[in-house]
Amino acid sequence: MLLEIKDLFKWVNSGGNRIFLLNDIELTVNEGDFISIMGPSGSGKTTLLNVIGMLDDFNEGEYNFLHEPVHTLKEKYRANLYKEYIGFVFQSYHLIDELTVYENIETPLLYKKCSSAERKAMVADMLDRFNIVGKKDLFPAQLSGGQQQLVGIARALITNPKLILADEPTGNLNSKQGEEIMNLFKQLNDEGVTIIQVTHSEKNATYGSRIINLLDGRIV
Amino acid sequence: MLRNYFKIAWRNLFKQKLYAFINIGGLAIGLTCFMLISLYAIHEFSYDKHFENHENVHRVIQQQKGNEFLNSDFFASMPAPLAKTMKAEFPEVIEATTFNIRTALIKTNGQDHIEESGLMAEPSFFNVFTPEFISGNPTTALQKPNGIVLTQSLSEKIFGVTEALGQLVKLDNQNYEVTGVMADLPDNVTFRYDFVRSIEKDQEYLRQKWTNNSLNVFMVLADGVNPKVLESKFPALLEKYQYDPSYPFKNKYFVEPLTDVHFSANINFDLPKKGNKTFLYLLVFIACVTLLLASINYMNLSVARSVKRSVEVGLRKVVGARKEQILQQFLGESILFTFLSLILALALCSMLLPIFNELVERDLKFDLFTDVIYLFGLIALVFLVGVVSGSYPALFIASLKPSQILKGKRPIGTSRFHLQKILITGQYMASFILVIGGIIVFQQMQFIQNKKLGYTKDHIVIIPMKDWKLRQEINTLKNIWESHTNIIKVSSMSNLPTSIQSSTIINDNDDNSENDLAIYHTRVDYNYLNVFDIELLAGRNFSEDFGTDKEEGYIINETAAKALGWTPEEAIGKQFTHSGTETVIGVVKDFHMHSMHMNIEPLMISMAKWTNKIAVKVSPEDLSETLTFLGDSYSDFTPYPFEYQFLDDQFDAMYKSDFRLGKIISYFSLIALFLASFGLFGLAAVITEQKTKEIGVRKVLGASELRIMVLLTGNFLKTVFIAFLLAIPVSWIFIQQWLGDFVYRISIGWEVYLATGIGAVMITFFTVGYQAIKGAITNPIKSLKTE
Repeated sequence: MLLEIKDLFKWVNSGGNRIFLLNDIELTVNEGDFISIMGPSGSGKTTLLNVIGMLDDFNEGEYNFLHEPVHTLKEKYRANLYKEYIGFVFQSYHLIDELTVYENIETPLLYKKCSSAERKAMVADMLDRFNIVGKKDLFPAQLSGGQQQLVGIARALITNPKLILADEPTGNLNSKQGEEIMNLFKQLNDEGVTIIQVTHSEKNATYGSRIINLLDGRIV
Repeated sequence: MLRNYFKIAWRNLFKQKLYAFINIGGLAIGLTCFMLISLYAIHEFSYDKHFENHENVHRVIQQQKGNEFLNSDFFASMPAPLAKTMKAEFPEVIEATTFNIRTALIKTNGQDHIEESGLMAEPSFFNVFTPEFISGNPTTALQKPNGIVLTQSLSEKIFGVTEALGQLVKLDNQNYEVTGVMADLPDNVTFRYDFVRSIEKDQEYLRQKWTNNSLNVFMVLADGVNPKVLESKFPALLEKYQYDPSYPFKNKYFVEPLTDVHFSANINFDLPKKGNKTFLYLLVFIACVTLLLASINYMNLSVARSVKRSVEVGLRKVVGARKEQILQQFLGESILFTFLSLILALALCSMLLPIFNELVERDLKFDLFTDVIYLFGLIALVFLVGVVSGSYPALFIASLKPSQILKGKRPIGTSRFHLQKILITGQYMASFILVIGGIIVFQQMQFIQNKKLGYTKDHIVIIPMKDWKLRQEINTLKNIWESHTNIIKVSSMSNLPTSIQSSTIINDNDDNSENDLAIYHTRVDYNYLNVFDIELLAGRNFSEDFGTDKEEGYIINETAAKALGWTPEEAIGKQFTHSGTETVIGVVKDFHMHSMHMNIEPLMISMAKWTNKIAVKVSPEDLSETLTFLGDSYSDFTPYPFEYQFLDDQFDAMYKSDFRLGKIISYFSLIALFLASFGLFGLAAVITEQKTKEIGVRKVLGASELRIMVLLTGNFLKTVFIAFLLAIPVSWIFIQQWLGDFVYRISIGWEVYLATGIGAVMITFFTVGYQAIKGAITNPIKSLKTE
């Protein structure tokens, strides 16, 4: 078991009313799962993903990640946990515009204790694996959307995470590029990486092994 | 890691050229001001500190209660026997010396005459002051009554490369023997001299009178002596030696450390070339303000731009950056920016140093590599500025929540904009205060120059007479000059009407000393009133037809007549006691015999036996030819080099420090205004960019371009206007303070404020307008698509 969420609530108070963003979520994810979270806009998909990624906190409930009780952990320890085990992929890629492809992929390693030689080897591996060695000195603005997302995924994978969280990874891509990215995810999953993605597309959801449907913050 | 930070900072710099330019340029200007002014401040505080024993050297000054002269009753001139007596009677005084500043005409080996300023001093002089001797013995050098010590450069001027020691040199036609050569004095010596000769030939000194105050007295105190203790011993000393029932003033002696002499002000007959502490503090204040303004620009722009960098920060946090690491990165970036500005500032500094030197009247040098402490100080300063201006934006950026940023929420807190507005208000307030101050100083200067003085100062050439021989033959020279067609009239006198600097006491003849009147006194010739167009209200001018005029004829001014209880008409023929019984033959209309800082005081004018200045009224035609003529005939009478000055220049010189203040304020108000507008321009650019979406939506909903512009400029306009309103009372207080130093002054008009207010609105409009127009004319489809 990779993570387990029990009776989780998240809410905001607005004008005397309590609005639930996440309402009584129960979820267990095992290593090797490929889960798709679906639901209409505002149903809490991204919020759930951020909670899983420990970028966002919640008001009530339990969340155990690799048997660590996240809900009782201090901020700093929590940060160490996600740094170590989780990689993020975003809809709008979120590459740093001022850094090259190479440097973007290298960035997470800078915040870990990694020697310069190690970093070089790891980034070179990743570039190789994704077939973008020739593009390593280009800046994000010089790449197509699909290529940018490829770099985004490479960056997420560089630290060898157990879990990839992807927030509509193909949302800004055309159908062909989207398909390529989904195939890549499938392949990563086959290699043993656990993946949770948020998606609007029925077709993309079929790549996964499980679908969670959210409506108004509740699993249906 | 560092390389990565550096790379991203560097690339950001080139990507955002405008922003980088404003930040680096602004900081460079701030740093330049600070560096120039700190050079000046370091120099000012270094005066006389190179003397080995400077901490123990003090001088004695005195206060003469009731002898108010030129607005002060403090005097630097002391009686001749004081130094010797102190050394003999006070165990605290290890050494004491007396000297006098005198210029002298010196004959060089090449037979030319040069005029140099130097001292006449007691042999103990070099026990108190310790300039480096190149040859000769400092302790014995002045023991011979005709001994003289020259500076190296003066020695070279007189003797060339020949060894000077033991040679004879002619000063004012007397022979002196060179008993020593000293190294040239550094710049930071309070009073300068090119030679020191024995005081044994000074008549005033030889009289050794306790009631005759004409010399400077310095001494060395024993270690740990409190000057206050010494001061408490003076009354008894004066009781013992100076007691003389006829001496009119009650005087009190004070001890002043040598290191304070450079800054002490308002002492009559003080040593020349003095610092000005108020001016120095004003400059230091301005330096800090400009640096602060530039730092504020940096802060405001960095925070405003953090929106753009928020994605980067969010990402760095998601991939594992801790808050401290983000903080480090952004602090590092601002330190990098400040270092780049430092390089620019160094270049600017060496370019502007000559102009600045002229402004502060110093010969400052800018040589980083010889002054290691200054260099390290600068580097420390740059770190400090980098940290101060970078910490707020860095803290702000580092505390952004990644989940929020990456969700696309923009980090705009209302509190942040409050702070930015407060910072901008502060910047503009400082600028407006300086601008208003500058305008008022300018108006007052204008007022002074246009005020009716009671005498004419145009087309009058002033020539000093230093030669006794010339003073005896002055009438011959006057006749020669007056025969020239372009010379209208010539007068000789003891004091120019611009500043009459001697005063005395008279009595209106009823033997009641209560009625003593302190009165300024100048001695003149028959032409004085005509040359300066001084108007007679009653009576007559001095005339050759009245033989008694030379002895007992006096002309007084209106104020003196009033003080003596007479109308101008009544005064004629009245008598009073001065050296003898004197008669009033005329009353002149009051004229400004001092600067506008002072009231018009009672004045009496008498005929001179000896005069020391010549005033030549010339016609403006062929001025250079006239001057050549004056110089040529002057040289027939005296070996002294021909020197002249125009009276109106000399008049302006009285307001030199006021002019200087005006100049400084106007320079720095421009810099401050420029920096503030720089910042506003940058901020407007960033905010317009942030509001792209809002503008787009509004345009789609039908807002006109004008409405958009009002939306974009209105807020800034409000901020600047509030700054202006706040500047009004603060500037008013400062200006009242400054104008309070003038007896004759302008009143502050509302026009100044109105003009500044209109200027404020215009500046805002021009600064923000460009960005606003750019924002207003963008096609909304374009701006909405970016989301």
